[in-house]
Amino acid sequence: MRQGPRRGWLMFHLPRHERCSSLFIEKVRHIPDSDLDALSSPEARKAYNMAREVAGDSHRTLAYIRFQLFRERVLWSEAKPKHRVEDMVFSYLRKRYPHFGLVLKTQRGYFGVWPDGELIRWPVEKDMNDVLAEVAAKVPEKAVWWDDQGEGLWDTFYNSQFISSRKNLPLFYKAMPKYYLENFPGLGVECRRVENGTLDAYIEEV
Amino acid sequence: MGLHEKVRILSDAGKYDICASTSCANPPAVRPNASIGNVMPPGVCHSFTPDGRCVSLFKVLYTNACSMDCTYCTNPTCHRKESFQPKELCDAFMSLYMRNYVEGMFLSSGIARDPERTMDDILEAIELLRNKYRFGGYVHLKILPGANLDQIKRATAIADRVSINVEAPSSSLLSSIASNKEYGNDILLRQRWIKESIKKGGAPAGQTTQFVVGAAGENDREIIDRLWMEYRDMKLKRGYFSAFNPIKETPMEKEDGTPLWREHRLYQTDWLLRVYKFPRREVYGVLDDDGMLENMDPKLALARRTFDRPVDPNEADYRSLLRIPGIGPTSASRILEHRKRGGRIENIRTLKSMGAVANRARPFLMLNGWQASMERWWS
Repeated sequence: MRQGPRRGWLMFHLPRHERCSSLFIEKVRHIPDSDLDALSSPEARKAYNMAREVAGDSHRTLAYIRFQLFRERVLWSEAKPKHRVEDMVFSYLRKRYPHFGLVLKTQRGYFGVWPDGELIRWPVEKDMNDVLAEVAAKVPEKAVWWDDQGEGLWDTFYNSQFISSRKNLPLFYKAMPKYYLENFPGLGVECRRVENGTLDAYIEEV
Repeated sequence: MGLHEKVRILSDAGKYDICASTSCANPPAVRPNASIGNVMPPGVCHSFTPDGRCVSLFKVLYTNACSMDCTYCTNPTCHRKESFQPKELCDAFMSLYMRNYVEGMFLSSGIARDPERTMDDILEAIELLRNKYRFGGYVHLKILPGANLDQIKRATAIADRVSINVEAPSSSLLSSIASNKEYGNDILLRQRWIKESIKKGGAPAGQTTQFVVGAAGENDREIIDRLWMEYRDMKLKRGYFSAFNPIKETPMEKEDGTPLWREHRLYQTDWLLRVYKFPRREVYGVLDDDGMLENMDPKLALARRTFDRPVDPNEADYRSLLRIPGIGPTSASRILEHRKRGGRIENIRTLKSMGAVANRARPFLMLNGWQASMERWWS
């Protein structure tokens, strides 16, 4: 039974790692299959760990970006993923929101896509409104047709889910590392809840 | 009453139900008519509460009106009874899903008078979400005790996962905390129907169940036995454990809560049964005379009983490797693969690079004829 990573999987993820040099990628290309299968050499393990960091960053970016709506056609967000995972994120988001235009601003620029369009990148200096307007123009019809309840609903729902007798902040920070709380502006509700608690919780504790 | 207030009340009432953060089917169900939503096989946790629990699904009750008398539950005694209308529920969910706050829907409910009628209301809401809102993402639906066979077929056709809570490990224990739920008929028979529906292609992520740990005074052996039977007879995907937590204004509010470590140790034991495939009789070895788990990693407790001498990873078979703390199925397979290709485990670093947790494994290993000098666990 094969247990190690496939070389193709490594070669897909490693170039997206912020600290991975082309020299190391070349080295990985020549790691013997047996070492890769068992992760039995330091290089194989290092390559595997770096690729996993990229996959994890992509996973967390998918989880923690919060969209805002523009003209009922475009979903946009800002975030700073650690690695160059924007294309990975968009390949999933397109399946999730096939009728929307999508825009993500990261430290590497604006990334956007619309139905049937290719992933486009704009320089970070560009104005957000211009990018959104450009993408919205490519979306033929309104993508929201239900009664939208707005962003505040998340605040209500999220605060209802906490069970005070199980409070466990170390576990919270393990699952939501500070890097993401600080670099993903959409996580404001979670930050406020952890830092301040709620009035109800305070009264309950008193 | 506004929709936000309904969401607040009904999601607060639903927060004690447990669902997985990574619960999607692999491969996911393909819903050709869907226009929004996708199911990602590994699942995504979109947020975590300060108690460290994942918030990946819009977890709500359809109604908190309930004619049951479960003594641990807040619904029967709650003064504010609320129910969603199907459209309200769908609008609220879509507003969260669109902004990437949640990965899917988890819908449960109190049983307002007639279980079949309440189940019909729930199904109507999810059918609306699937057919009119054309949502193709993940839905986990609770089956109510008393739902009929036709409703279970409808539920497995539209949901990715379904579940019905056993709550307690036996009929007598359940009746001590919920006198009007009949274990054999309301729970086990429905689970059998679910199993048959899944066999015919429904609910691709299978069925699960949940225990309220400690509410009925059961011991851990009873829970492990029931869980094992659920895996064998109901083809359960997995079981969940919720430590009993006394809630104000319920008949059990003055009872002691179950320590969270007990829930944690049950999850670890479940892992040994479900993932490591340890025989049930072997797992019994970690129970004390009262059938309770100690507050210790059950795999470590088992290893202390199993090994009377350190293990050489260059000689040990898969079964023995798997019983060493810090070595799981993946790292055990990597060790065997490495050996098959003529490699040897010369030092702890090699093991570490294969994914083993070196510090846990070290006291049980003999590398190059030498055993780590740290104090033996079983001495």
